[in-house]
This record gives sequence, structure tokens and C-alpha cells, in this order.
Amino acid sequence: MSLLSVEHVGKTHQVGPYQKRVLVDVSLTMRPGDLFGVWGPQRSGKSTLLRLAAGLEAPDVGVVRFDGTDLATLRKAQRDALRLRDIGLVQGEGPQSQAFTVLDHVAVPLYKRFKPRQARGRAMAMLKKLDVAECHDARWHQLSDCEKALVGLAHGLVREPRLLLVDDPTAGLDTLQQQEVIELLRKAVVEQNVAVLMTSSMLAAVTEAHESFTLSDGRLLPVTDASRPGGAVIELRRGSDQQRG
Amino acid sequence: MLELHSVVKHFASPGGEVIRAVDGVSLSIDPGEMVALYGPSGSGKTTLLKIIAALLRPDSGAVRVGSRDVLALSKREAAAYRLHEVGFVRQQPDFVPGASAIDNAALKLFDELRRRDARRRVEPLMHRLGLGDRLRHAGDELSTGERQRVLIARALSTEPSLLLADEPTGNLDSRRSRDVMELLCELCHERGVATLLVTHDPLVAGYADRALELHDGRLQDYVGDSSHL
Amino acid sequence: MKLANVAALYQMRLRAQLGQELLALLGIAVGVSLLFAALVANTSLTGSFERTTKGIVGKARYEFAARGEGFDERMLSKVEGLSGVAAAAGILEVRAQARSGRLRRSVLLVGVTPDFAKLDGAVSPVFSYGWLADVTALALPTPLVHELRLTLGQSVILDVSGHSVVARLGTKLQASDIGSLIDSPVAIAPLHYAQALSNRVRQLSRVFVVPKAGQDSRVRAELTRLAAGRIDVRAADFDAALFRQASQPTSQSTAMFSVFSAMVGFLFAFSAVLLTVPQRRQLIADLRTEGYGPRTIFKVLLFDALVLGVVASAVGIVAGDQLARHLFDQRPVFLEMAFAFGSERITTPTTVVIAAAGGVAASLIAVLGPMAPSLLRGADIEPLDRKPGRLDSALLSSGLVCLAAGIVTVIARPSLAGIGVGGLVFLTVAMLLLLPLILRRLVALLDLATEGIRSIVPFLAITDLRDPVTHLRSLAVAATGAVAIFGSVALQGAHADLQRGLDRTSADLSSIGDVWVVAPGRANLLATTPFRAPTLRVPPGVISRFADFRGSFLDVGDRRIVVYGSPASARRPIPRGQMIDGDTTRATRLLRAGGWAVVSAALANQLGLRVGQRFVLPSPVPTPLRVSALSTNMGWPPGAMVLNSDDYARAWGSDDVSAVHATLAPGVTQAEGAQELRRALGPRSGLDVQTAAQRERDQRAASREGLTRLTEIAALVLVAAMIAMAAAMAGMIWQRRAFLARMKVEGYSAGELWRSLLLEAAVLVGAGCAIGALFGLLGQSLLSRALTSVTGFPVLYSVAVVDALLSCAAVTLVSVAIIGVFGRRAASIDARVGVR
Repeated sequence: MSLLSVEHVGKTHQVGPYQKRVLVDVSLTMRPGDLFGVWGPQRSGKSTLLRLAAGLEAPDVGVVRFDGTDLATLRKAQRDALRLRDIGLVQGEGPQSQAFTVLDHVAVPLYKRFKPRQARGRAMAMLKKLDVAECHDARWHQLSDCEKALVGLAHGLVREPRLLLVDDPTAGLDTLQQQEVIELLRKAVVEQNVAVLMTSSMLAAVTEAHESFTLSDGRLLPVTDASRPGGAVIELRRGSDQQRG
Repeated sequence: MLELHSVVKHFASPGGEVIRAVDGVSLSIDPGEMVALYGPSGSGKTTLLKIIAALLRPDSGAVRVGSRDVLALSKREAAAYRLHEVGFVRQQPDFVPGASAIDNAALKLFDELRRRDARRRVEPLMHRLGLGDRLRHAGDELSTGERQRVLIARALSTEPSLLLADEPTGNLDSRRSRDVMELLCELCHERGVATLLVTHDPLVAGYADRALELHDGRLQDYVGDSSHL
Repeated sequence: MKLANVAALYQMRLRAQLGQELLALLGIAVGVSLLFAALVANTSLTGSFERTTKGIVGKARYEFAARGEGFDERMLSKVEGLSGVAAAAGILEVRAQARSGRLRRSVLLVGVTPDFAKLDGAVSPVFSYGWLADVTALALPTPLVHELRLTLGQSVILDVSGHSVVARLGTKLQASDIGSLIDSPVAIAPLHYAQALSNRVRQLSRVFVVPKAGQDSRVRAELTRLAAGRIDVRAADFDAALFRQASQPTSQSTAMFSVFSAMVGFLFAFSAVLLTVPQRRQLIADLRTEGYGPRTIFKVLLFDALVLGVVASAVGIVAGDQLARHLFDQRPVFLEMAFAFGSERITTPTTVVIAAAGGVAASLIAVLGPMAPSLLRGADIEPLDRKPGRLDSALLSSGLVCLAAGIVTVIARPSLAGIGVGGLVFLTVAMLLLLPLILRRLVALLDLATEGIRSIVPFLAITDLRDPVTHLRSLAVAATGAVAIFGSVALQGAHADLQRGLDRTSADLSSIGDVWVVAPGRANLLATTPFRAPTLRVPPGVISRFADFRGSFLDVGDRRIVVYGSPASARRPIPRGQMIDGDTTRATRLLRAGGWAVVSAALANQLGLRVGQRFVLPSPVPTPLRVSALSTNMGWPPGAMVLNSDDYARAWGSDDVSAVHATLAPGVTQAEGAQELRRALGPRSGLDVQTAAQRERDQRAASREGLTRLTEIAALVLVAAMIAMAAAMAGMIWQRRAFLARMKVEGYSAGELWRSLLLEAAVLVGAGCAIGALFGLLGQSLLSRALTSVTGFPVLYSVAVVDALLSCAAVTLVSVAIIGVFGRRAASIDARVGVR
């Protein structure tokens, strides 16, 4: 049975005076243990897709199901509970609140279930697991890009979710670091049997996934779709980055 | 135009370990030449930029811009040097939130021109950067790429002899990165500005006339080696 | 989320925002402390008087009170003989001055009998002491003994009823003996001794009556019959009502000032809390994304607000207690002329609860207010949609409506205190509504004016002022200044108007005669202590004529008014310039003719009297009079009345005077005249000779002293506003340091950045203060008009432009200077911070 299924979803945003079609007839099905990647330039709708999958936004048309249930039929509180427990959303920008230390940030999702001490203990364990425990007392803005990506993953994984949505974890990372992050996600998929939907603006990163897509003018297309000639997909295939170097 | 000679800057880490951020860097950039400085994060790129912008004194070495000894500048002279002779492109937080795009671009001119004249001065540059219909827009009405182009306009507004760019495309996706880099390239060559560009993006480094790599504080030629990528 | 977790969340954020939380705490604490101190001062004033009264009257339900100086003591046995009376006790109260060496103090000489023990009041024990029966000595409260530097057994001179007598100090009274009377200026003596000292043999001024169970109404009827319309029959604690009425202006003005202080404190807190709004928004956004629901978020915010509110209120109450002890502790001197009361500080649970509730409410509004739209929508936290056009016109129209309402109130001369206060509220609201628009216009103007200047300074200041992110905070800063200056200009201006009016009244009243012979003592400033007119022999050519002046306090309804009997022969028997309705010349003519009285307007209003109407004065001998004109209250809040001196003598059934006026022969100075009169009185006289100038000086000093509290609170409000604005601005500037560093990277110098910060601060604070001053002048005219028509004070209105400008400039300068110090430090930030 599918864990996440996005069915013919469309979403339009109001941008200033005009309407921007962010997602057009997007469909996607994920099972536990899947690792999907979505590549696309900034503002191409990647984050919107993740927010729809997390139940933070509702689609204009189409259905988003989690575990078979249409998210739109749930009460807000139920969707909230789902996010707190089953769906981890890792946003590219990290926490908005500057007051949190890394440890606090990772522990926040656990405060409904655990006492402060337990929550911090689990958060610390997760940071250790991802090998970023040494920066537990730092603030988000003090972290390097790579540390940010790892702490973000810790924050997503700490609640032991069934679905992990990761927004552009490879931003600002060099290729080696990108590899490291992808490797971690692969490991999480295998060990925790979690489904991971990640986005990236680096094509190389998403092609490591089980299935990779690209968002182009709001449409979700498979990257390897050879039937569509030309366009950005072909031009920027893996390794083409260095052509000018 | 820009000459660095054996510039050294070491820091002591909290643990007492010596970090060789810049370790004997020599470099010369001619007018109109664009040099890319490539290196992973923490490789000392930004430290080098700070030294050139007279924001940080090196432990030893010499820095000259034109005929000027940058290290001999007083605090006040250093400020004037940054205002008139150096353009420094960084990232978005530099955008003045309460001001329009054109005011942001003209920011460095307000000391020598009336506000109206300053705006008039940068307007052609704004058109050139494709911001002709965005002049009066506030920061939150501009896209990331547009804001970045406004900051480039600001850096070039005083017709500097030296342009420093610190990850000028850091927040942009590859398509917009290319647009911005192409513009930057064109403008620098056209105006004869010596440009030092710091990046960890190989794509960006590819636009430069020369690409160097900073590794453990030392400079080496950047080889577009794809083996470790 | 569990409470422990909410607390943990709070704790982790507190570490990062301690400075801002402390600022907010300071703001609320300032508001709470001023509110608390004013509440304590007010409740203490009436409260301590009530306690004193209760302590004396004990179980007594009624009092049988003389209208003049006293009634025959045989009345006591008549009262005791009434069938419904269980017990009764009589006292004699006489105003006197106690002297020891050069030290002197006005006291109330109280003659009591052991009967008092029967009333079972708090102070009864002392009256039951055996010595009271026949000793001839005084008992004084210990503080008074110390003040006069007396020791037991030593002699003290009493100036009483126009002569000086020597009495011995027999007992020092402790608080355990007389409770709250300990701080009152009283001298207690056995009744017979007091009667002898004051030359009021066989006289009593009051009899307290305890009725038998269930016989209250019967006793009242019997007493009324016995009084035959010449003695007042009233509730035993009726004095408290009189006191409340008389102290109302003091209490009301203190309360009004406190409200303004609380408002300034609140705005202070509000701008401090606004500094943390972005952080709170971010926190909420984070929590929402995690999946925490609105209830959790509400809990988190509520916890924030409650911790802040409770801690700040606690700090504020402690600070307010200190303020009440050290700043608000002086009592209004003028009330001592008619009442004996203590200076006990009374803190009731209600006071604490009100102050704390105010603090917590302020904190709730400040913390939850800015979040309310997002909380109510229950949606993701996004910045409020800015639709400047619609908001602006709404602000403008509602602001103008409030302003119009305020101005109408000013013009209409409010006849009720409530309307006056309402007018002030309208003006304040109008000011706050119009402030954003005025400020925006001002910035646009500044932009235009500095267009031609080649400098980054005005540009940065203007863009900062326009920055939408900090807009609300900037407004809060300006609003703080505006409210503080508004309150201070309006109240200080009205205060000055009142002071000028009172000064003229003092001059008018004193100049009725050139030189005055009166009973000594500060409590006799209005010449209300009666004595037998002395025979004065002065060399010819010094005094052209003597005239008898009479005056005393009289209880009319719930007012203890002052009644002056002015000699017909005086040049100006009616003080000039005090008329509200009627003509001085006509009133003077009628007064000389007799049978007419000038009545203060507020009193006439309460009694329903108009000019020309007849009424019966409830004096010892009820006397019919007609109203010749309506006047101000002549500086005595409950009201005043002026009649012919001879009418007065008839109405009081006594030839006693309370002053002898001497009109000097031509060419004789007041000092020479006074010297001759002193010689004529002789050294043993208990009377004092004062020139008109001297009396005027003393009265002015007393009225000033009564109003100093207002000045002090006004100063506190201004200081609080300065701290508030400086702190809020400094906080804003501090948050902008990274931006400043980036401007330095561009090549701008610390000096330029600093000047832009200064300019921004000056515009914001200066504009706020100027707007406050402008509205304050309107408020002043409103208050001054209200003071005249509501309380009947003599008020001389004049626009306090200079004062307004001064306080405006002072507050702006000091705040900008403080901000400048912070700005200097912020602007000197290392430019390297500007590069990642």
C-alpha cells in the first residue's frame, strides 16, 4: 500500500498582481523505503510540493493521501499531529527562530511526547548518529552549509517519521559533501524503512535517488524521460557541470 | 591593478591550534581581468577578500591596488578606499530594507551626489542589468536574482578599479547563476575592472579568465579535474 | 505540550533574549510601580483618616456635633438620659498651637473623659487610665514629642483661643495606646483641663452616642429633637465622608497622573516587547511547521506573557512601595486646616491586586496583541497584509472624530469630572491614531528637504524610518514620547493655571486688611480659629481703623466648607476676581447691607442655589440668607461662602472673632503697623500679628506644598518616558548592528552611520514629543476648564507654550543623548562582521 500518494495535484499562488501556476497535474506515489529526488531551479515549486505533502498547504485540485487518507478530509489538528509524529519536514532555511541552539532545534519535535530531559537526550543521540554532536550548542547561523544539512536531517529524523520530506539539503555543498548527505538518506531509508522525498537544485544530487524527477513549468517529469528532447534536463546531465572548467 | 605579495594570515583556534587561513599568497590581477578563486568552505577565501578590502590586516605581506599600499591606510582612508575604489558584491542581507531598488543601487553615491543625481547616474546600469522596470520596487517585491543584480549595480556604481565578489551567485540556481555571471563578465571586461571572484561553485569559476584554488591557505592553479567531483 | 516543556521552551529562548525581556520587564514594572504608589497614596490618605475616626468612635453610631465651637456640657447628661441610649461620651476639640522654645506645631487639643472607654474603640484603653480623672497634664503622641524636643514633665506652651497657656507634658503616647492616631497632631488632656486651657468652661464640641440594641432610629429621632436645629446629628463616622469629599481633588489628580504614568509604562513595555515580536513570529512558524497546534502556541505565548507580567508586577509593586514611602508620603497640608489625620501608609489587598492585574494585563496585551491576527486565523504565521491606503483613511477619519470630540469637550466646559476625563481620553486616542500619519508626512517632508544634501546620513535615517519591519516599533517609540509629554504638559499646565489662580486668591484674601491679628499656627492659615476680640491700644496715627473678621469651617451636607464673615468696613470685603456668576460691586454693596452671601459655585450647584435665591445657613443659629453672587471655591476644595461679619456673629451666636484687621493710617508701613500691634498685644498674648504680605506668602507656600506631588509624578513620568524611548531605540539600533557593519564594508564611516542613527532618533523622539506637546496644550485648556467648572477652583488659564517647549526639548535632548551613546557603540562595530 502506498504511503504518500499525490494525485493530479494543481496549485496556483498569487504573486503580486498575477497568478503563478506552481504545480500542474502532479502525480507521485511513494512506498516505505522509497527515496525520490525532485530537481528544479529555485521557485520552481519544489518547496510547494513538499508543503503539500506535509499537509501545510492544500492543493487547489487533486488529492494528497497519506497512508490512504486524503489529507484534506482531516481536521487541522489531525494534520498537525501527523506532522509532529509521522511526517518530518526539513526546510532548507533551518529554524526561523534564532534563539534555538542546535540541540533545542532538534529536540523541539519531541516536546509533545517526552519530558525536556528525555527529548534532549534523544536529540543528542540523533546528532551523534549523524556525527554533528560537537555543534549541539551552536546556533543555526553559525553552522557551515554541511553542518546545516546534517542538523536539518537530524531534526527530521529524530521523531522517527514514516515520511521524510527534505528541501534542498545539498544547497551550498561541494560534491563530496553532497555525496555524504545522500548516503545518509539512503541509510535512513534502509534502516528506518522511511520514505524520503528530497528536492535539490543540483541535478547530480537527485540522480542518486531511486527515482528522480524534475519540475518544469509546474509539471513533474521523470529526469530520465528520453522521450522529451532538449530542454534543461538533457543539457545539464550529470557531470556536465565541469564542462567550462 | 591588484597585487598581493606573500600575504600571510594565521588565526589561533580556541584549542590553541594555528589555523593557516592565508599562508603566503601572491597574486596579481590586471585591469579588465577576472580571476576566480575556487575553494571549499573554510579554505580562507573570505579572509583573503577581507584583507584586500582593508577590513583585516595580514600578519605579513603586501597588498597594493594601483599605486596604493592598502595596508598603510588609516581607518578613515580605508573607508574612502572601499567607498570609491572597491566594489564588493556579497549576498542579499546587504539590501537596505526600507529603500527602493534604485536607491539600493545608488547607495554608494549619496556622499558625492544629490540623491536625484545619484539615481540618474545608476539608471543606465540598472537598465543594463535588466532592472529597468524594477527601479522603484522595494526589496520584498524583487526576486533573489533581481536583488543580486541590484547589488552588482551598487558595486559598479562608483566605477571602481577593483571588484571583489564573494559567492555572487550563492543563493541562485544554476540558470540564474549563469545569467548573473555572464553579465558580470561582460561588465568587468568592458569597463576594465580587475575582478576577484570567490566561489565554491565550479560553474561560476568557469567564467573567469583565470581560475585559482585556495587550499590550506595556499594558492594553486585550479585544474578542472573531474575525478573528485 | 506539557507545562514542563513549555517552561523548557521558554527557558531556552530566555537565554537568547534576556536583554529584551528585561527591558519589557522594566517597562511594565515602571507602570505598575507608579500605579501602585498612587493607589497607596490615595487609599492611605482617606484610609488612615477613616481608621483614626473608627479608632475614636468605636461602637458609637451617632455623633452630636457642635456647629460652632461647642455646646453646653450639660447636653451630655441630657443625651445620656435619652431612653434609647446605651452609652455616650463627650469631647472638646480645640485648634491650638504647641510651642517649645522656637519649635512650634499646630495641634488639635482634645479633652476627653474616662467615659470614652465605654465606646470600646481602638483607642479606648488610654482614655480609661486613672490619671484622666483629675490630672492637669497633656498627653502627646511620641512622634510629636520628639518633633518638639520635649521630655516628660517639661512644660509646653499652648496658644489657644487667643491666649498663651503653659501646660505640662504628662504622658508620651505609644502606638499601642492610640493606634493610628499616633501620627496625628493631637494633644490629649482630661476634659476639665482642656476646657480650662482653652477658656471654654463647661463646653463640649461633640458627643458620641452608642444606642441600645435595635434602637438606632429611635435614638436618632430623640437626638434630632434635642438638637433643635442648632446641633448636627449624624453618623459617628461622618467625618470620613467629609474628609473624602475634601481630599477628592488631591486623590483625583494623583489618580489621573498615575493613569498617564501607567500608560507610559505600558507603551514602554509594548515597545520593548515589540523588539521580540520577530523572534516570536519565527518561533511560532517553527512550531507550526513541526505540527504543534494553535493551542500549544497559545500556551507558549501565554506562558511568556504570564512570566513577564507576574515578575514585572512583583518588581513594580516592590518599587511602588518604596515610591509610596519616600516620594508620595507627604500629606496635603491644606487638609490639616480642617481635619486631624495621621500619615499611616495603608496597603490593602485590593491595591495589590489592581496593580498586579494591570501589570499582567499589560503584558498579555503586549505579548499576545501583535500575534492575535495570526492566532485568530489559526493559519501559518505570515506578516500582516499591508494595505496602507485603507488603514490610513481609517486612522485619519477615526483620529479626526476623536479630536473633534475632544475639542467639543474643551469648548463645552465639562460640568462633570467624568466628562473632563472622557475629553482627555478622546484627545489621547486622537493623538495616537493620528501619530502614524503625521510621522509619515514628516518623513516625506524630510526626504524632500534633504534631497539636495550630498550625504548618506539623511538617506539612511529616512529609509530606517520607512522600514516596514521596524515601523511598529518606531511608532511605539514616538507614541511613548507623545503620551508622556501630553500628560505632563496637560497636567502641569493645568497645575500652573490652578497655582496662579490660588496665588491671586491668596492675595485677594490677605489684602482684606493691611495687618492681621490672628491665632497662630499653620493650621490657621485661613483664619478660622476663634478668640475673644482683644482690646488694642495703639498710639494715634498708626491705625486708621480696626475691623472684626470672622471665619470657620462649617459642615453643609457632606462638605466641610469655609465660611468667612467679612467686615463691612473693609475696602474690599469680597476677594476680587473670584466671581463666576455675578458682579463684585453689587455683591459688595449687598454684603455691606447685610443678609446676603457670596456662595461658591460647586456648593451652590449641589444645594441647587441660584443668584438671588434664599436659603438657611445651617450654622449654630440657623440663619436665612440670600445668594448675591456665585464665586470660585477660593482655594478650599469643598467650597466657600462670604457673608457680612455681623451676620456671621448672629449666625454663630457669638461675638468671637477669628481675626482683627487693622487698616493702616496713611504713611505707615505694614511692618511698622505690625510692630505697634505686637506691642499693644503684649508678650503674654496667644495671638499673632501678621502683615497681609506675610499671610499671602504663607498661603502660597501651603498651596504649593499641597500640589508638589503632582510635580513629582510628572517628573517621574517624563523620566520613565525618556528611559523607555532610549531603551527601545537602543534595542532597535542594537539589532541593526550587522546592517551597520555591511554599510561599513561599502565604505561608509562610523561617524556617518552614527549621525544617521542620531537623526533618526531625533526625528522619532522629537516628533513624538512635539505632537504630545501640541495635544497637551489642548488637554491643559480642557483640564483647566474642568477644574473651574467641576471643582470650582480659581483657575487662571494661560497657554503654557514655554513649559511645553521646555519639557519637549528636555525629553528629546536627554533621550537622543542616551541613544547617541548606544548608537556610538553600535556604529563602531567591526566592519568585518559585514562579511560573513
